Amino acid sequence: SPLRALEVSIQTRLEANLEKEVVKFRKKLKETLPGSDWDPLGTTKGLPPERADVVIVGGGVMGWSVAYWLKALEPRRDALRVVVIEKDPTYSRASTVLSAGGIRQQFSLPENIQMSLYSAFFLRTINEHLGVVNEPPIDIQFNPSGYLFLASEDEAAKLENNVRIQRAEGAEVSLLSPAQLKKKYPWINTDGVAVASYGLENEGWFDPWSLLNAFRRKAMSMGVYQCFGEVISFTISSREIMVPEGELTFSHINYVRVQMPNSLEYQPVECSLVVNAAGPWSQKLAEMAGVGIGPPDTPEGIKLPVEPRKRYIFVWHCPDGPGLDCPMLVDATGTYFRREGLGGNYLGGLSPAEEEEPDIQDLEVDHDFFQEKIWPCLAHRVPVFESLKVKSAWAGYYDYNTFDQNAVLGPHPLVENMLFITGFSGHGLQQSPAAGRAVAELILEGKFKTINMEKFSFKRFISGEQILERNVV
Amino acid sequence: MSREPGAGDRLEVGNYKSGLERAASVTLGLGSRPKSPGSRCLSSPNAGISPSRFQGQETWFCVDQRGKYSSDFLQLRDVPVVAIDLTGSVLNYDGLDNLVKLTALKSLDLSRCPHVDDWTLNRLHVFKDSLEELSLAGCPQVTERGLACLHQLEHLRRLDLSHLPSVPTPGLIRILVEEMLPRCEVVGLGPGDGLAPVSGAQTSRDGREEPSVPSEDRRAGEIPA
Repeated sequence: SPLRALEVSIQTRLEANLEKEVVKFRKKLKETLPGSDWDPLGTTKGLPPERADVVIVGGGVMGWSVAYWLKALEPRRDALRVVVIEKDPTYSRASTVLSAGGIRQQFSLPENIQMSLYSAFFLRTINEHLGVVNEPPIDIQFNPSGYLFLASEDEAAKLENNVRIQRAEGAEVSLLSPAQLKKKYPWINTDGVAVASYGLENEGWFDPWSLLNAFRRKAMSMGVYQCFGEVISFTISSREIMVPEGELTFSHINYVRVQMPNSLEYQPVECSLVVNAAGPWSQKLAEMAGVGIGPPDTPEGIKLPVEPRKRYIFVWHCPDGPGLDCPMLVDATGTYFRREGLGGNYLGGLSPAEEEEPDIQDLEVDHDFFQEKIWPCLAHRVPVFESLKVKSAWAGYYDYNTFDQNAVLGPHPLVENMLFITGFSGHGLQQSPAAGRAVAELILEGKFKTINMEKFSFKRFISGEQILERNVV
Repeated sequence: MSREPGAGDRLEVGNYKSGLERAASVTLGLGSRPKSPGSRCLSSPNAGISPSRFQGQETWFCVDQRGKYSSDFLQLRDVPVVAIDLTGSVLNYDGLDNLVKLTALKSLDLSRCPHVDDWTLNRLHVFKDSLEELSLAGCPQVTERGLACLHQLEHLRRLDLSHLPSVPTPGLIRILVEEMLPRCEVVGLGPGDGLAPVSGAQTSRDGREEPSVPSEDRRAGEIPA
C-alpha cells in the first residue's frame, strides 16, 4: 500500500542519515537554548558538562577542599559551576587516602603554622562546616595525642628556635629536657636526645578518608559536579607581549579535554579557570598547559618543581610497646611512628635520603628498607621495639616540591587562568582546609583574606627565592 | 583563711578547703545551668554560676533558693578555687577559656556534659600541675582517643569514667588508662558499665561495680621505666 511504502522510505532514509540528523538536531538545540544542559537524546553516562566556570583537576583532599570552599563562599547560590575531575575512581594511588593522617603545628614557617591552626579549628567544628542534613554526623576519629619531636645536640638550637616561632603564632608547644622526657614517657631511650618539643593541643592524627568523603559529600550536596576521567590536553590561546626584558608568551586555557575511563571518548569542557590539584602529577598537567615548555632560561621554561616521591608506611605489632599515651614520635633521624588502634599496633616510616629515593613507577613496598633503615632507629629509641613483627605495609606518593618543600599556591604568572594548589611535600592533608579556602578566596575575591599565602606563589621559582620549611617529616 | 593563691602545704588530699579566684568572671562566662543533685543548691535561670569550692572552706558556693549568690565570696577574692562542679552544664571547648585561669584547681567535675568531647579534653593539660580529681562520667562525646590526652595530668589521683557510651571495649580501655596513669584510681569502665546512665540521683561513686584490684597488684602491669 502507498502508506506502507512511505513508511519504509522514511525508515531507510532515517537510518541512512541518522547520525547526520542527530548532529543537526543537537546543533539546533544548542542555538535555540544556549547554555542549557538539556539533552533529550541522552549522552554517555559520566561525561562532564560542556561548560563550567571552574574546572578542578584532581579529586583528592585539595581538589575537594577548593570545590567546597568555592561553594561555601560564593556570593549567591549557583553563582559558579564547579567540576572536579578525578582519573581514578578507586583512589588506589591517591596520596590523600594513603597518608598517615597526622596534623601538627610544629613547622618553622609562620604561614604553615597558621594553616595548620586553621585546619585544626576546621576539623574541630567539622560538622558545622561539612554536615549535611539527614546524613549521619562526621567523625574523623581524631586522636589528640600530639607530635613529639626529638633533637640531637646539633639540632637543638634549631628546634628551640622553631618552638619560639610556633608559640609566637599561637601554637601550644612545650619543650622537654631529656629528664622530663624520660619521666613522661618511660619507654623512650633518651640517649642522644638533647631537647624535645611536644605539641599539647591541636596535634595528633585522624582518618584522611573521612575528611575526603566529608568534603566531597558536602560539595556535591551544594552542586559541584564530579567527573571520573583523565585530562588529556588543554586548548590554549596565547599571545606575545613585549616587556622590557624581552618577549613573553601569555596563554589562556579555553577548553579542558577530559577522556572517559577505558574509552577513547572525550569531552572538551569550556572553562574560565583551571585549578591544578593533581598532586604528584601536577607537573605533567602543568606541562600540558605549556608550563616548563620553552627555552630553559626563560620564564616559560621554568617547570613546576613538583615530583612524585614514593614513601613507605609500615605497620607492626609489639605487645609491650608504648600505651595509650604514645604520641606521634619523630626521631632526630627522621624516623617516625605512632600508635595505631588499641591492640599494640604501630605505624611509621622514614623519608629516605635524597640519593636513596625509590623508583616511582609503582607502589611496591621495599621491606629491606624497614629492616635496614627504620628498625635500627626504632630499636635504639624505643628498646621494646627490638622485638616487633611487621604486619603490613603500603606506599604512597608525596607531591614533593624539589625547590623548597613547601606548597605552591596561586596563579601562574604566564598561564593566566591556571591556579596551583600542590607541592605540599607530605604535609598537605593537614593544611587542606586552609589551602582550599585560600584558593577559593583568590578565585572569588581576588586576594587572600584569611591567611596571606603570597609567599607560596609560583613567582618564587622564577626569582629563585626559596621559602624553606625546615621541619619536613 | 589563706590569702595566698595555691597554698599547697595547707591542703590535704580529701580534705579540700575552698578558695576563690575571680569566680564571677570564671563561672558567668560558662553559660551553664548547674543541675547537679550533689551540690545542695538550687539553680535559677539567670544564675550561670557553677558551684565551686574555695580554699579554706568546706561548703560549696553556689546559687541559693532565691537565685542569689552569697556575697561572702567577695571576701575570698584572692583565694584560689580548688573545686568546680559542672555536672550537666553546657560547657564546651570555647567555654574552657574561662577555666584555664584556675591554676590551683584540684577537682573538676564534668559529668554528663553533652558538649565535652575529645577536643575539650585536649585542653585540660593546663591543669597538669594541680588537678587531682576528674570526673567524666556520662559524657556522651568522650571517646578513648580523648582519654589518651589525660596522660598530661601528672597529679591525677582519681578519675571517674563511668557510663561513657562512646568508649567501646571499656575493660581494655580501663587497663590502658591505668597503665598510662599508674598513680591514679580509675572508677568505672567495669564490666557492668555499658548500661545507660540513670538520670538524677546516681552519683559517680556508684560506678564501681566490682572490688578494685589492690594497688600493689596493679603496679605489676606497669611498664618498667
